[in-house]
Amino acid sequence: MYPVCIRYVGDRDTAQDILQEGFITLFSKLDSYSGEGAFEGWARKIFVNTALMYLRKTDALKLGTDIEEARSLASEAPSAIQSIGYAELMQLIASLPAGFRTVFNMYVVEGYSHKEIADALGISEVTSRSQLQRARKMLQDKIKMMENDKTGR
Amino acid sequence: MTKQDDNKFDLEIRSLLSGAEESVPDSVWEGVSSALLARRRVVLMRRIGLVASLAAAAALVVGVFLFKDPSVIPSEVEESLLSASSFAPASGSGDVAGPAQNERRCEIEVGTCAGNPVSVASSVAGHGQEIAPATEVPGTCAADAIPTGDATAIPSEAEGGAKVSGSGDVAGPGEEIAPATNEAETSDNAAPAFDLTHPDADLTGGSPTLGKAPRRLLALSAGGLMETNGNPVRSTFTGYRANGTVLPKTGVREHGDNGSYGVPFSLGLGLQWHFAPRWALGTGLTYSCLSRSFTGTYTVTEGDAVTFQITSNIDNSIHYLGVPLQLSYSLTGDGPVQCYTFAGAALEKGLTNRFRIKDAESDIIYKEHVDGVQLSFNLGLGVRFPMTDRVGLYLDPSLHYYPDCGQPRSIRTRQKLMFSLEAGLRFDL
Repeated sequence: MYPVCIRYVGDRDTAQDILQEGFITLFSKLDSYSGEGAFEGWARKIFVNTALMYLRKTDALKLGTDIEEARSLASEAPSAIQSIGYAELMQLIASLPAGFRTVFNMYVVEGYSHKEIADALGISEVTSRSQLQRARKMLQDKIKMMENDKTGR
Repeated sequence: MTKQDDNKFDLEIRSLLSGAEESVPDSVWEGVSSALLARRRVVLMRRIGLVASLAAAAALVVGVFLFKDPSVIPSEVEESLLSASSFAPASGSGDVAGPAQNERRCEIEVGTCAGNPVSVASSVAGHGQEIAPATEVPGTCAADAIPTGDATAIPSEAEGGAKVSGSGDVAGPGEEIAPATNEAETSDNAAPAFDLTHPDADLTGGSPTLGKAPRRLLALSAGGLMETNGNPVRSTFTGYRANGTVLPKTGVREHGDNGSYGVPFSLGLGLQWHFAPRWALGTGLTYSCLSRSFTGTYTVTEGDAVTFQITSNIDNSIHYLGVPLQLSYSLTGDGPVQCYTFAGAALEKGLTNRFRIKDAESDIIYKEHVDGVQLSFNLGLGVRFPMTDRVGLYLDPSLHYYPDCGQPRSIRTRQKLMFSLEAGLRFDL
Protein backbone atom coordinates (compact mmCIF):
# COMPACT_ATOMS: atom_id res chain seq x y z
CA MET A 1 0.00 0.00 0.00
CA TYR A 2 2.97 2.29 0.46
CA PRO A 3 3.49 2.61 -3.34
CA VAL A 4 -0.21 3.45 -3.68
CA CYS A 5 0.19 6.28 -1.21
CA ILE A 6 3.35 7.55 -2.89
CA ARG A 7 1.65 7.58 -6.28
CA TYR A 8 -1.20 9.68 -4.98
CA VAL A 9 0.59 12.25 -2.89
CA GLY A 10 3.90 12.41 -4.70
CA ASP A 11 6.34 12.47 -1.77
CA ARG A 12 7.43 9.77 0.61
CA ASP A 13 7.14 11.69 3.86
CA THR A 14 3.52 12.57 3.27
CA ALA A 15 2.91 9.06 1.92
CA GLN A 16 4.11 7.66 5.26
CA ASP A 17 1.54 9.80 7.04
CA ILE A 18 -1.16 8.61 4.66
CA LEU A 19 -0.06 5.03 5.16
CA GLN A 20 -0.18 5.39 8.92
CA GLU A 21 -3.56 7.09 8.85
CA GLY A 22 -4.82 4.46 6.43
CA PHE A 23 -3.74 1.57 8.64
CA ILE A 24 -5.35 3.17 11.67
CA THR A 25 -8.60 3.51 9.73
CA LEU A 26 -8.25 -0.03 8.43
CA PHE A 27 -7.75 -1.56 11.87
CA SER A 28 -10.55 0.54 13.33
CA LYS A 29 -12.98 -0.55 10.62
CA LEU A 30 -11.96 -4.16 10.28
CA ASP A 31 -15.30 -5.32 11.63
CA SER A 32 -17.10 -3.49 8.84
CA TYR A 33 -15.44 -5.68 6.21
CA SER A 34 -18.28 -7.92 5.13
CA GLY A 35 -16.14 -10.56 3.46
CA GLU A 36 -17.59 -9.82 0.06
CA GLY A 37 -14.88 -9.16 -2.48
CA ALA A 38 -11.16 -9.31 -2.04
CA PHE A 39 -9.78 -7.97 1.22
CA GLU A 40 -6.95 -6.29 -0.67
CA GLY A 41 -9.40 -4.34 -2.78
CA TRP A 42 -11.28 -3.23 0.31
CA ALA A 43 -8.08 -2.22 2.04
CA ARG A 44 -6.79 -0.45 -1.04
CA LYS A 45 -9.95 1.63 -1.18
CA ILE A 46 -9.26 2.84 2.35
CA PHE A 47 -5.77 4.01 1.45
CA VAL A 48 -6.96 5.68 -1.75
CA ASN A 49 -9.73 7.46 0.16
CA THR A 50 -7.26 8.58 2.83
CA ALA A 51 -4.99 9.98 0.14
CA LEU A 52 -7.89 11.72 -1.57
CA MET A 53 -8.96 13.26 1.72
CA TYR A 54 -5.48 14.62 2.17
CA LEU A 55 -5.38 16.02 -1.37
CA ARG A 56 -8.76 17.63 -0.91
CA LYS A 57 -7.69 19.10 2.42
CA THR A 58 -4.57 20.63 0.94
CA ASP A 59 -6.47 21.95 -2.10
CA ALA A 60 -4.16 19.92 -4.30
CA LEU A 61 -7.08 18.92 -6.48
CA LYS A 62 -7.75 22.43 -7.73
CA LEU A 63 -7.52 21.85 -11.43
CA GLY A 64 -7.29 25.33 -12.93
CA THR A 65 -3.53 25.70 -13.17
CA ASP A 66 -3.09 22.08 -14.16
CA ILE A 67 -5.21 22.56 -17.24
CA GLU A 68 -3.31 25.66 -18.25
CA GLU A 69 -0.09 23.75 -17.83
CA ALA A 70 -1.35 20.89 -19.97
CA ARG A 71 -2.52 23.04 -22.83
CA SER A 72 1.04 23.64 -23.93
CA LEU A 73 1.67 19.93 -24.30
CA ALA A 74 1.99 18.49 -27.75
CA SER A 75 0.26 15.29 -28.67
CA GLU A 76 2.88 12.66 -28.98
CA ALA A 77 2.76 9.05 -29.97
CA PRO A 78 3.05 6.70 -27.00
CA SER A 79 6.60 5.91 -26.04
CA ALA A 80 7.92 2.49 -25.36
CA ILE A 81 7.98 2.67 -21.57
CA GLN A 82 9.73 -0.67 -21.17
CA SER A 83 13.02 1.16 -21.22
CA ILE A 84 12.28 2.87 -17.92
CA GLY A 85 12.11 1.12 -14.55
CA TYR A 86 9.62 1.18 -11.70
CA ALA A 87 11.48 3.79 -9.70
CA GLU A 88 11.72 6.16 -12.64
CA LEU A 89 8.06 5.72 -13.48
CA MET A 90 7.10 6.45 -9.88
CA GLN A 91 9.22 9.55 -10.02
CA LEU A 92 7.56 10.70 -13.23
CA ILE A 93 4.07 10.04 -11.91
CA ALA A 94 4.92 11.93 -8.73
CA SER A 95 6.04 14.89 -10.80
CA LEU A 96 2.61 15.23 -12.45
CA PRO A 97 0.38 17.99 -11.13
CA ALA A 98 -1.79 16.67 -8.32
CA GLY A 99 -5.05 16.87 -10.25
CA PHE A 100 -3.66 14.98 -13.26
CA ARG A 101 -1.89 12.48 -11.06
CA THR A 102 -5.04 11.71 -9.10
CA VAL A 103 -7.28 11.13 -12.10
CA PHE A 104 -4.53 9.15 -13.82
CA ASN A 105 -4.00 6.92 -10.78
CA MET A 106 -7.69 6.36 -10.25
CA TYR A 107 -8.45 5.53 -13.86
CA VAL A 108 -5.33 3.79 -15.14
CA VAL A 109 -4.07 2.02 -12.03
CA GLU A 110 -7.11 1.52 -9.81
CA GLY A 111 -9.58 1.02 -12.62
CA TYR A 112 -12.24 3.50 -11.51
CA SER A 113 -14.72 4.70 -14.13
CA HIS A 114 -14.97 8.38 -15.03
CA LYS A 115 -18.30 8.54 -13.23
CA GLU A 116 -16.77 7.17 -10.03
CA ILE A 117 -13.84 9.57 -10.35
CA ALA A 118 -16.20 12.48 -10.94
CA ASP A 119 -18.21 11.55 -7.85
CA ALA A 120 -15.16 11.08 -5.67
CA LEU A 121 -13.46 14.30 -6.68
CA GLY A 122 -16.54 16.45 -7.12
CA ILE A 123 -15.85 17.18 -10.78
CA SER A 124 -17.76 16.45 -13.95
CA GLU A 125 -17.13 13.35 -16.03
CA VAL A 126 -15.97 15.54 -18.91
CA THR A 127 -13.36 17.15 -16.67
CA SER A 128 -12.23 13.71 -15.54
CA ARG A 129 -11.79 12.59 -19.16
CA SER A 130 -9.95 15.72 -20.12
CA GLN A 131 -7.69 15.48 -17.05
CA LEU A 132 -6.85 11.90 -17.89
CA GLN A 133 -6.07 12.73 -21.47
CA ARG A 134 -3.79 15.53 -20.43
CA ALA A 135 -2.15 13.44 -17.75
CA ARG A 136 -1.35 10.77 -20.29
CA LYS A 137 0.13 13.28 -22.67
CA MET A 138 2.20 14.89 -19.98
CA LEU A 139 3.51 11.56 -18.75
CA GLN A 140 4.36 10.44 -22.26
CA ASP A 141 6.18 13.68 -22.77
CA LYS A 142 8.19 13.16 -19.62
CA ILE A 143 8.98 9.57 -20.58
CA LYS A 144 10.14 10.77 -23.96
CA MET A 145 12.34 13.41 -22.39
CA MET A 146 13.84 10.82 -20.11
CA GLU A 147 14.51 8.49 -23.02
CA ASN A 148 16.14 11.35 -24.88
CA ASP A 149 18.33 12.14 -21.91
CA LYS A 150 19.37 8.52 -21.69
CA THR A 151 20.25 8.25 -25.35
CA GLY A 152 21.96 11.62 -25.23
CA ARG A 153 19.79 13.14 -27.92
CA MET B 1 -3.17 9.18 -30.58
CA THR B 2 -5.91 6.57 -30.82
CA LYS B 3 -7.91 4.95 -28.10
CA GLN B 4 -6.02 1.72 -28.72
CA ASP B 5 -2.76 3.53 -28.16
CA ASP B 6 -4.13 4.90 -24.91
CA ASN B 7 -5.17 1.46 -23.75
CA LYS B 8 -1.79 0.01 -24.64
CA PHE B 9 -0.04 2.78 -22.74
CA ASP B 10 -2.28 2.27 -19.73
CA LEU B 11 -1.59 -1.47 -19.73
CA GLU B 12 2.13 -0.92 -19.85
CA ILE B 13 1.95 1.49 -16.95
CA ARG B 14 -0.19 -0.92 -14.95
CA SER B 15 2.12 -3.87 -15.58
CA LEU B 16 5.13 -1.85 -14.56
CA LEU B 17 3.46 -0.74 -11.34
CA SER B 18 1.87 -4.06 -10.43
CA GLY B 19 3.58 -6.01 -7.72
CA ALA B 20 5.72 -3.06 -6.78
CA GLU B 21 6.95 -3.07 -3.22
CA GLU B 22 8.46 -0.41 -1.06
CA SER B 23 9.94 -0.91 2.36
CA VAL B 24 7.96 0.90 5.02
CA PRO B 25 9.96 2.70 7.72
CA ASP B 26 9.60 1.34 11.26
CA SER B 27 8.34 4.70 12.47
CA VAL B 28 5.10 4.13 10.55
CA TRP B 29 4.41 0.86 12.36
CA GLU B 30 5.30 2.42 15.69
CA GLY B 31 2.95 5.31 14.92
CA VAL B 32 0.16 2.92 13.97
CA SER B 33 0.52 0.82 17.11
CA SER B 34 0.70 3.80 19.47
CA ALA B 35 -2.24 5.45 17.74
CA LEU B 36 -4.33 2.30 18.00
CA LEU B 37 -3.41 1.97 21.65
CA ALA B 38 -4.40 5.56 22.31
CA ARG B 39 -7.62 5.05 20.37
CA ARG B 40 -8.44 2.01 22.47
CA ARG B 41 -7.90 4.10 25.60
CA VAL B 42 -10.17 6.80 24.27
CA VAL B 43 -12.86 4.22 23.55
CA LEU B 44 -12.45 2.82 27.04
CA MET B 45 -12.64 6.29 28.55
CA ARG B 46 -15.78 7.03 26.56
CA ARG B 47 -17.37 3.85 27.84
CA ILE B 48 -16.42 4.68 31.41
CA GLY B 49 -17.74 8.19 30.91
CA LEU B 50 -20.98 6.85 29.50
CA VAL B 51 -21.45 4.42 32.37
CA ALA B 52 -20.60 7.17 34.89
CA SER B 53 -23.03 9.55 33.22
CA LEU B 54 -25.78 6.95 33.19
CA ALA B 55 -25.09 6.12 36.82
CA ALA B 56 -25.15 9.83 37.68
CA ALA B 57 -28.39 10.31 35.81
CA ALA B 58 -29.95 7.26 37.45
CA ALA B 59 -28.80 8.38 40.87
CA LEU B 60 -30.16 11.85 40.21
CA VAL B 61 -33.52 10.48 39.19
CA VAL B 62 -33.66 8.20 42.20
CA GLY B 63 -32.52 10.99 44.48
CA VAL B 64 -34.97 13.54 43.18
CA PHE B 65 -38.03 11.38 42.93
CA LEU B 66 -37.69 8.98 45.81
CA PHE B 67 -35.97 11.05 48.46
CA LYS B 68 -37.25 14.52 47.93
CA ASP B 69 -36.59 15.42 51.54
CA PRO B 70 -34.60 13.03 53.65
CA SER B 71 -35.92 14.60 56.84
CA VAL B 72 -39.42 13.38 56.13
CA ILE B 73 -40.24 9.72 56.21
CA PRO B 74 -42.42 8.82 53.29
CA SER B 75 -45.92 8.07 54.57
CA GLU B 76 -45.82 4.51 53.26
CA VAL B 77 -42.68 3.85 55.23
CA GLU B 78 -44.22 5.37 58.33
CA GLU B 79 -47.35 3.27 57.92
CA SER B 80 -45.33 0.15 57.51
CA LEU B 81 -43.41 0.99 60.62
CA LEU B 82 -46.63 1.49 62.50
CA SER B 83 -48.14 -1.74 61.33
CA ALA B 84 -44.97 -3.64 62.01
CA SER B 85 -44.81 -2.20 65.48
CA SER B 86 -48.25 -3.46 66.41
CA PHE B 87 -46.72 -6.92 66.59
CA ALA B 88 -43.81 -5.70 68.66
CA PRO B 89 -43.78 -5.84 72.43
CA ALA B 90 -45.28 -2.79 74.00
CA SER B 91 -42.34 -2.05 76.13
CA GLY B 92 -38.86 -3.26 76.41
CA SER B 93 -37.76 -5.89 78.80
CA GLY B 94 -35.17 -3.67 80.23
CA ASP B 95 -32.36 -4.07 77.80
CA VAL B 96 -30.44 -0.99 76.94
CA ALA B 97 -30.10 -0.73 73.24
CA GLY B 98 -27.27 0.83 71.31
CA PRO B 99 -27.86 3.88 69.18
CA ALA B 100 -29.07 1.95 66.21
CA GLN B 101 -31.32 -0.18 68.31
CA ASN B 102 -32.61 2.87 70.11
CA GLU B 103 -33.47 4.39 66.81
CA ARG B 104 -35.48 1.37 65.83
CA ARG B 105 -37.04 1.27 69.28
CA CYS B 106 -38.18 4.82 68.77
CA GLU B 107 -40.06 3.79 65.71
CA ILE B 108 -41.62 0.85 67.48
CA GLU B 109 -42.58 2.83 70.52
CA VAL B 110 -44.22 5.49 68.48
CA GLY B 111 -46.19 2.89 66.68
CA THR B 112 -47.14 0.95 69.74
CA CYS B 113 -48.33 4.02 71.50
CA ALA B 114 -50.36 5.28 68.64
CA GLY B 115 -53.41 6.94 70.05
CA ASN B 116 -51.70 7.56 73.32
CA PRO B 117 -50.79 11.18 73.88
CA VAL B 118 -47.10 10.85 73.63
CA SER B 119 -44.68 13.66 73.30
CA VAL B 120 -41.01 13.38 73.33
CA ALA B 121 -39.95 16.70 71.96
CA SER B 122 -40.35 18.42 75.28
CA SER B 123 -37.75 16.20 76.84
CA VAL B 124 -35.06 17.77 74.75
CA ALA B 125 -32.87 20.06 76.67
CA GLY B 126 -30.48 21.00 73.95
CA HIS B 127 -27.94 19.62 71.62
CA GLY B 128 -25.29 17.59 73.29
CA GLN B 129 -26.97 17.56 76.62
CA GLU B 130 -27.51 14.19 78.17
CA ILE B 131 -31.16 13.53 78.44
CA ALA B 132 -32.56 10.76 80.43
CA PRO B 133 -34.95 8.60 78.56
CA ALA B 134 -38.55 8.87 79.46
CA THR B 135 -39.69 6.44 82.02
CA GLU B 136 -42.71 4.42 81.45
CA VAL B 137 -44.75 2.11 83.56
CA PRO B 138 -44.70 -1.32 82.03
CA GLY B 139 -47.78 -1.91 80.06
CA THR B 140 -48.49 1.75 79.60
CA CYS B 141 -48.58 1.30 75.96
CA ALA B 142 -50.67 -1.78 75.98
CA ALA B 143 -53.64 -1.38 73.79
CA ASP B 144 -56.21 -1.66 76.54
CA ALA B 145 -54.51 1.03 78.59
CA ILE B 146 -54.34 3.52 75.84
CA PRO B 147 -57.13 5.98 75.58
CA THR B 148 -58.09 7.07 72.17
CA GLY B 149 -57.19 10.54 71.28
CA ASP B 150 -54.97 12.68 69.20
CA ALA B 151 -51.62 11.07 69.05
CA THR B 152 -49.83 14.30 68.58
CA ALA B 153 -51.50 16.31 71.28
CA ILE B 154 -50.04 16.78 74.70
CA PRO B 155 -52.89 16.36 77.08
CA SER B 156 -53.17 18.70 79.97
CA GLU B 157 -53.95 17.62 83.52
CA ALA B 158 -57.39 19.14 83.24
CA GLU B 159 -58.15 16.89 80.36
CA GLY B 160 -57.23 13.92 82.43
CA GLY B 161 -54.06 13.40 80.60
CA ALA B 162 -50.82 12.42 82.12
CA LYS B 163 -48.99 14.87 84.22
CA VAL B 164 -46.01 16.01 82.34
CA SER B 165 -42.98 16.45 84.41
CA GLY B 166 -40.62 19.34 84.15
CA SER B 167 -38.52 17.54 81.69
CA GLY B 168 -41.48 16.67 79.64
CA ASP B 169 -41.42 12.95 80.14
CA VAL B 170 -44.32 10.92 79.04
CA ALA B 171 -46.73 8.97 81.11
CA GLY B 172 -50.00 7.29 80.71
CA PRO B 173 -53.21 9.09 81.54
CA GLY B 174 -53.69 9.86 85.14
CA GLU B 175 -50.29 8.70 86.11
CA GLU B 176 -47.85 10.96 87.74
CA ILE B 177 -44.40 10.36 86.62
CA ALA B 178 -41.38 11.29 88.52
CA PRO B 179 -38.78 13.48 86.91
CA ALA B 180 -36.48 11.79 84.54
CA THR B 181 -34.71 8.87 86.00
CA ASN B 182 -31.35 7.58 85.07
CA GLU B 183 -30.89 5.12 82.31
CA ALA B 184 -30.25 2.18 84.60
CA GLU B 185 -33.53 2.68 86.32
CA THR B 186 -35.28 3.04 83.07
CA SER B 187 -33.80 -0.02 81.64
CA ASP B 188 -35.22 -2.01 84.50
CA ASN B 189 -38.69 -0.87 83.81
CA ALA B 190 -39.25 0.13 80.28
CA ALA B 191 -37.57 0.82 77.07
CA PRO B 192 -37.06 4.48 76.35
CA ALA B 193 -39.71 6.00 74.22
CA PHE B 194 -37.03 7.97 72.43
CA ASP B 195 -33.32 8.18 72.74
CA LEU B 196 -32.56 11.72 71.86
CA THR B 197 -28.99 11.58 72.91
CA HIS B 198 -28.18 9.90 69.68
CA PRO B 199 -26.33 12.32 67.42
CA ASP B 200 -28.70 11.57 64.60
CA ALA B 201 -31.78 12.43 66.57
CA ASP B 202 -33.89 15.35 65.51
CA LEU B 203 -33.34 18.30 67.77
CA THR B 204 -35.67 20.71 66.18
CA GLY B 205 -38.54 20.03 68.51
CA GLY B 206 -40.77 18.94 65.70
CA SER B 207 -42.20 15.56 64.94
CA PRO B 208 -39.98 12.59 65.50
CA THR B 209 -37.64 12.00 62.62
CA LEU B 210 -35.31 9.24 61.82
CA GLY B 211 -31.56 9.36 61.43
CA LYS B 212 -31.11 12.90 60.26
CA ALA B 213 -27.83 14.44 61.27
CA PRO B 214 -27.77 18.10 61.97
CA ARG B 215 -26.72 19.94 58.89
CA ARG B 216 -23.38 21.64 59.19
CA LEU B 217 -22.73 24.71 57.17
CA LEU B 218 -19.07 24.27 56.35
CA ALA B 219 -16.87 21.37 55.40
CA LEU B 220 -13.15 21.27 54.84
CA SER B 221 -11.69 18.72 52.49
CA ALA B 222 -8.20 17.54 51.74
CA GLY B 223 -7.56 15.17 48.92
CA GLY B 224 -5.72 14.16 45.81
CA LEU B 225 -6.75 13.64 42.25
CA MET B 226 -5.40 11.50 39.43
CA GLU B 227 -6.36 11.72 35.81
CA THR B 228 -6.10 9.40 32.87
CA ASN B 229 -3.10 9.75 30.65
CA GLY B 230 -2.40 8.45 27.20
CA ASN B 231 -0.17 8.74 24.19
CA PRO B 232 -2.35 10.63 21.80
CA VAL B 233 -2.77 9.82 18.18
CA ARG B 234 -0.17 11.45 16.03
CA SER B 235 -2.19 13.77 13.92
CA THR B 236 -1.63 13.77 10.21
CA PHE B 237 -1.94 16.71 7.91
CA THR B 238 -1.02 19.24 10.53
CA GLY B 239 2.06 20.43 8.75
CA TYR B 240 4.54 19.36 11.39
CA ARG B 241 6.78 18.11 8.64
CA ALA B 242 6.92 21.52 7.10
CA ASN B 243 10.41 22.78 6.59
CA GLY B 244 11.08 26.34 7.49
CA THR B 245 13.91 28.51 8.57
CA VAL B 246 13.73 29.05 12.28
CA LEU B 247 15.94 31.53 13.99
CA PRO B 248 17.97 29.88 16.74
CA LYS B 249 16.51 30.49 20.17
CA THR B 250 17.31 29.14 23.60
CA GLY B 251 14.86 26.41 24.40
CA VAL B 252 13.75 22.85 23.87
CA ARG B 253 12.49 21.52 20.57
CA GLU B 254 10.63 18.24 20.53
CA HIS B 255 11.33 15.70 17.78
CA GLY B 256 8.14 14.39 16.30
CA ASP B 257 5.15 13.84 18.49
CA ASN B 258 5.73 10.50 20.11
CA GLY B 259 6.37 11.52 23.70
CA SER B 260 4.87 9.58 26.56
CA TYR B 261 2.75 11.19 29.23
CA GLY B 262 2.75 10.53 32.96
CA VAL B 263 -0.38 10.27 35.07
CA PRO B 264 -1.42 13.81 36.01
CA PHE B 265 -2.04 14.28 39.70
CA SER B 266 -3.30 17.06 41.94
CA LEU B 267 -3.38 17.75 45.65
CA GLY B 268 -5.68 20.22 47.23
CA LEU B 269 -7.54 21.77 50.09
CA GLY B 270 -11.14 22.78 49.77
CA LEU B 271 -13.90 24.49 51.64
CA GLN B 272 -17.55 23.69 51.12
CA TRP B 273 -20.47 25.89 52.07
CA HIS B 274 -23.85 24.18 52.45
CA PHE B 275 -26.07 27.09 51.53
CA ALA B 276 -29.24 25.03 51.13
CA PRO B 277 -30.42 21.65 52.43
CA ARG B 278 -29.01 19.74 49.46
CA TRP B 279 -26.78 22.27 47.80
CA ALA B 280 -23.19 23.15 48.51
CA LEU B 281 -20.71 25.47 46.91
CA GLY B 282 -17.04 24.61 47.13
CA THR B 283 -13.77 26.29 46.42
CA GLY B 284 -10.17 25.81 47.45
CA LEU B 285 -6.62 25.63 46.25
CA THR B 286 -5.08 22.86 44.18
CA TYR B 287 -1.60 22.00 43.04
CA SER B 288 -1.23 19.92 39.88
CA CYS B 289 1.72 18.31 38.21
CA LEU B 290 1.72 17.19 34.57
CA SER B 291 4.67 15.21 33.32
CA ARG B 292 5.88 13.73 30.06
CA SER B 293 9.03 12.40 28.41
CA PHE B 294 10.18 12.89 24.87
CA THR B 295 13.21 13.09 22.64
CA GLY B 296 14.25 16.60 21.83
CA THR B 297 17.02 19.07 21.30
CA TYR B 298 18.03 21.66 23.85
CA THR B 299 19.66 24.70 22.33
CA VAL B 300 21.38 27.61 24.04
CA THR B 301 21.97 30.74 22.00
CA GLU B 302 23.65 34.06 22.42
CA GLY B 303 22.23 36.53 20.00
CA ASP B 304 21.75 34.55 16.78
CA ALA B 305 24.63 32.18 17.52
CA VAL B 306 24.14 28.70 18.94
CA THR B 307 26.54 28.21 21.83
CA PHE B 308 25.37 24.81 23.05
CA GLN B 309 23.17 22.09 21.67
CA ILE B 310 22.29 18.61 22.84
CA THR B 311 19.81 16.03 21.59
CA SER B 312 18.64 13.73 24.32
CA ASN B 313 15.74 12.27 26.26
CA ILE B 314 13.96 15.04 28.12
CA ASP B 315 11.65 14.85 31.12
CA ASN B 316 9.19 17.71 31.25
CA SER B 317 6.92 18.71 34.11
CA ILE B 318 4.49 21.60 34.34
CA HIS B 319 3.29 22.73 37.74
CA TYR B 320 -0.02 24.48 38.23
CA LEU B 321 -1.75 26.22 41.11
CA GLY B 322 -5.49 26.38 40.72
CA VAL B 323 -8.70 27.67 42.22
CA PRO B 324 -11.75 25.47 41.61
CA LEU B 325 -15.37 26.47 42.02
CA GLN B 326 -17.83 23.64 42.35
CA LEU B 327 -21.54 23.24 42.92
CA SER B 328 -22.72 20.00 44.54
CA TYR B 329 -26.16 18.52 44.88
CA SER B 330 -26.80 15.83 47.43
CA LEU B 331 -28.69 12.90 45.98
CA THR B 332 -29.30 10.83 49.07
CA GLY B 333 -29.22 13.23 51.98
CA ASP B 334 -27.58 11.96 55.13
CA GLY B 335 -26.97 8.30 55.63
CA PRO B 336 -24.27 5.66 55.85
CA VAL B 337 -23.27 6.41 52.25
CA GLN B 338 -23.91 9.83 50.83
CA CYS B 339 -24.08 10.32 47.10
CA TYR B 340 -23.95 13.61 45.32
CA THR B 341 -23.38 14.99 41.89
CA PHE B 342 -21.27 18.00 41.15
CA ALA B 343 -20.18 20.31 38.37
CA GLY B 344 -17.73 23.14 38.31
CA ALA B 345 -14.87 24.98 36.72
CA ALA B 346 -11.32 25.78 37.69
CA LEU B 347 -8.69 28.31 36.76
CA GLU B 348 -5.10 27.20 36.99
CA LYS B 349 -1.98 29.29 36.66
CA GLY B 350 1.21 27.61 35.52
CA LEU B 351 3.98 28.10 38.04
CA THR B 352 6.79 26.71 35.94
CA ASN B 353 7.51 24.55 32.93
CA ARG B 354 10.53 22.48 33.86
CA PHE B 355 12.72 20.39 31.55
CA ARG B 356 15.31 17.88 32.68
CA ILE B 357 17.65 17.17 29.78
CA LYS B 358 19.51 13.89 30.22
CA ASP B 359 23.23 14.26 29.76
CA ALA B 360 26.03 11.77 30.32
CA GLU B 361 27.78 13.98 32.89
CA SER B 362 24.87 15.52 34.73
CA ASP B 363 21.32 16.37 33.82
CA ILE B 364 20.60 19.89 32.66
CA ILE B 365 17.62 21.71 34.14
CA TYR B 366 15.91 24.30 32.00
CA LYS B 367 12.81 26.23 33.08
CA GLU B 368 10.33 28.27 31.13
CA HIS B 369 7.74 30.75 32.30
CA VAL B 370 4.14 29.71 31.69
CA ASP B 371 1.93 32.47 30.36
CA GLY B 372 -1.82 32.62 30.67
CA VAL B 373 -4.16 30.41 32.64
CA GLN B 374 -5.76 27.04 32.05
CA LEU B 375 -9.52 26.87 32.31
CA SER B 376 -11.24 23.56 32.92
CA PHE B 377 -14.72 22.22 33.50
CA ASN B 378 -15.72 19.14 35.41
CA LEU B 379 -18.78 17.02 36.00
CA GLY B 380 -19.03 14.02 38.25
CA LEU B 381 -20.71 11.83 40.74
CA GLY B 382 -19.32 11.56 44.25
CA VAL B 383 -19.77 9.33 47.21
CA ARG B 384 -18.90 10.01 50.86
CA PHE B 385 -18.50 7.39 53.54
CA PRO B 386 -18.85 8.96 56.99
CA MET B 387 -16.22 7.55 59.33
CA THR B 388 -17.15 9.58 62.37
CA ASP B 389 -19.74 12.20 63.10
CA ARG B 390 -17.61 14.85 61.43
CA VAL B 391 -15.13 13.08 59.22
CA GLY B 392 -15.84 11.25 56.00
CA LEU B 393 -13.91 9.65 53.20
CA TYR B 394 -14.96 10.83 49.77
CA LEU B 395 -14.44 9.49 46.27
CA ASP B 396 -15.23 11.79 43.38
CA PRO B 397 -14.96 10.24 39.93
CA SER B 398 -15.48 12.89 37.30
CA LEU B 399 -14.85 14.02 33.76
CA HIS B 400 -12.60 17.00 33.17
CA TYR B 401 -12.55 19.04 30.00
CA TYR B 402 -9.63 21.33 29.23
CA PRO B 403 -10.35 23.84 26.45
CA ASP B 404 -7.45 25.23 24.46
CA CYS B 405 -5.98 28.08 26.49
CA GLY B 406 -2.61 28.38 24.77
CA GLN B 407 -0.80 26.45 27.47
CA PRO B 408 2.47 24.53 26.95
CA ARG B 409 2.16 21.05 25.53
CA SER B 410 0.94 18.52 28.08
CA ILE B 411 -1.53 15.68 28.28
CA ARG B 412 -4.23 18.32 28.72
CA THR B 413 -3.45 19.98 25.38
CA ARG B 414 -3.37 16.62 23.61
CA GLN B 415 -6.29 14.89 25.31
CA LYS B 416 -8.79 17.51 26.27
CA LEU B 417 -11.34 15.23 27.91
CA MET B 418 -10.06 13.18 30.81
CA PHE B 419 -11.48 10.94 33.44
CA SER B 420 -10.30 11.65 36.95
CA LEU B 421 -10.66 10.14 40.36
CA GLU B 422 -10.38 12.34 43.41
CA ALA B 423 -10.18 10.90 46.90
CA GLY B 424 -9.73 12.48 50.29
CA LEU B 425 -11.15 13.32 53.67
CA ARG B 426 -13.89 15.81 54.35
CA PHE B 427 -14.30 17.37 57.77
CA ASP B 428 -17.58 18.94 58.83
CA LEU B 429 -16.87 22.13 60.72
